[in-house]
Amino acid sequence: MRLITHNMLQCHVKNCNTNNFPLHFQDAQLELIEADFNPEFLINMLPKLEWEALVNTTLQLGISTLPADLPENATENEEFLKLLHNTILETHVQQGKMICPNCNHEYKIKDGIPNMLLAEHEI
Amino acid sequence: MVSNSKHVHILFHVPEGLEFIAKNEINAKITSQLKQQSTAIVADSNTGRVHLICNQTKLPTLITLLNSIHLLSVRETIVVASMVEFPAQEFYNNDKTCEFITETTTNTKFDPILASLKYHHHNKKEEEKDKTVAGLFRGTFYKEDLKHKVKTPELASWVGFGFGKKYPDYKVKLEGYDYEIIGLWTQKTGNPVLWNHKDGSIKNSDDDNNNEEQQLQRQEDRKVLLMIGVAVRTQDTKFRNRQFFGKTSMNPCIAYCLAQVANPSAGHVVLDMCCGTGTIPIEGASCFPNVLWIGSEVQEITLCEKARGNVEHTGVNNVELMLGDGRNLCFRDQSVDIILTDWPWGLREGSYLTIQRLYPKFMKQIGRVLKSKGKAYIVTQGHKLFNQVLNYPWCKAMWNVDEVKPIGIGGYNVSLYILSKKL
Repeated sequence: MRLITHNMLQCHVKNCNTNNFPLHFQDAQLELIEADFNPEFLINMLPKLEWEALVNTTLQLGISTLPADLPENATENEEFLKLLHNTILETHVQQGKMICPNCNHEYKIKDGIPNMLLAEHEI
Repeated sequence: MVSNSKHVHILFHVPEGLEFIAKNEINAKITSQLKQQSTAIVADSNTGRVHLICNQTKLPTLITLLNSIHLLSVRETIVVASMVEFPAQEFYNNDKTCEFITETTTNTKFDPILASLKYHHHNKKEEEKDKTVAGLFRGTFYKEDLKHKVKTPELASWVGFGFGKKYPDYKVKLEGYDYEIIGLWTQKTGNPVLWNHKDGSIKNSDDDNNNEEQQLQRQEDRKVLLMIGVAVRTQDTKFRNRQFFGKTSMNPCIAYCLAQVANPSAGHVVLDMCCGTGTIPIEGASCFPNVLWIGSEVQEITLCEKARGNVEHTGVNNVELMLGDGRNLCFRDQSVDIILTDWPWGLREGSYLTIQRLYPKFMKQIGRVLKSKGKAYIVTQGHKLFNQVLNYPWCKAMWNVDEVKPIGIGGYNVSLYILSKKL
């Protein structure tokens, strides 16, 4: 699972409606997999990212390369875009868990695939 | 005989209801390369057929193009060698039907087509070639929209028989053949272009039998057309971009066309929340590399083994898979740009009772995760149920039904619902 996807995920256990994003990683095993650099995708995706959540998540994972704030003219800054590309598209979490900061529910990640299914009583 | 040796006629079998998408692709990849004015391309709406007609001199070029270019919306390509009107009195008599098919096949001019296709001893090593045999063939028949008491395999065998009479030095081989000789009939076309080209003129029909005059013509025009042709060898679409599929997996050609209808832009996030073996996200991802395609599926083996296997097999790097429940999606509000999905129909996947419980929940979920004014493209055969749900007050308040497009899948009447969020 790429970090871009994690940036979209929130906890959906019944009645867990606040402080349910972003999910915290635990025992995460990362893998970097190269992908073609696609600035057009990044430029259009950027406004949709929750930047603060992304920065906090990367710090949690031991990655400290992202700036706390978006640089001016980020969309024209190729160096920044390449960094963004590497972070959100090339960084995969292959194993581990995601924990909801609110209700502590655990979502497991196995072989790159997050399991977002809930038990019937949690829906 | 309504065939014209001045012209070449190619028939493309494409997803029914999505002929206009196939026409666009064929124009972009084939017609544009012919560099010729008098080429007509006709999307015959709701028949699953697109026709290309051009000058006979272009046959070799055209065959080279068709042999080398992958047309992603096309299931099958046929070079039509003859097209005749099937007389009613023959059609309603079983024996006469078979005779007529045989006779038409035997009287068809195949030579220029076989010479251009050059499939003799296709892919065989030198020592395997049986030089006493000019070529191997089989017959195939498509009934299209017309039922008949004589069964399809038998009609196919008469096509084969007719061909064999004309080419006694060819041998029948049902599998591992060089040439597939195809017969097909239809009543469901009245498009004038097909009839016009017999007198040497080709009119390019841009309106694609949408106008009233042609509609009327189709209703009155009860003629049955019989076409005989030869198949162009193309990639088997069933296994395109995948190694695994399930009993209700969508044909990749249809998935390709749907992705083209949705037409996402760079940076978009497209979600299929019932992705199954991943056909839609994978076909979409391979055509729209600037887009993130997310597939969510509730069944573990289907997703973790089959869908994942297919993503690896295809090698796309813009698909994300997850185990998820469409009744309770795990995405942030308004974080998805487009929904493109094929929901369970309650026929082979689930039952009417199960989908009754699913659809309202699905609608609530996609309403939450889809961005403001975002669009949802939903394929389903469960019209009665879906129309009911769309009429619920809360649903009406949230969604506009932009269009309901009939598409044919596996012989069922299926629809593509195109919805947009009001707010």
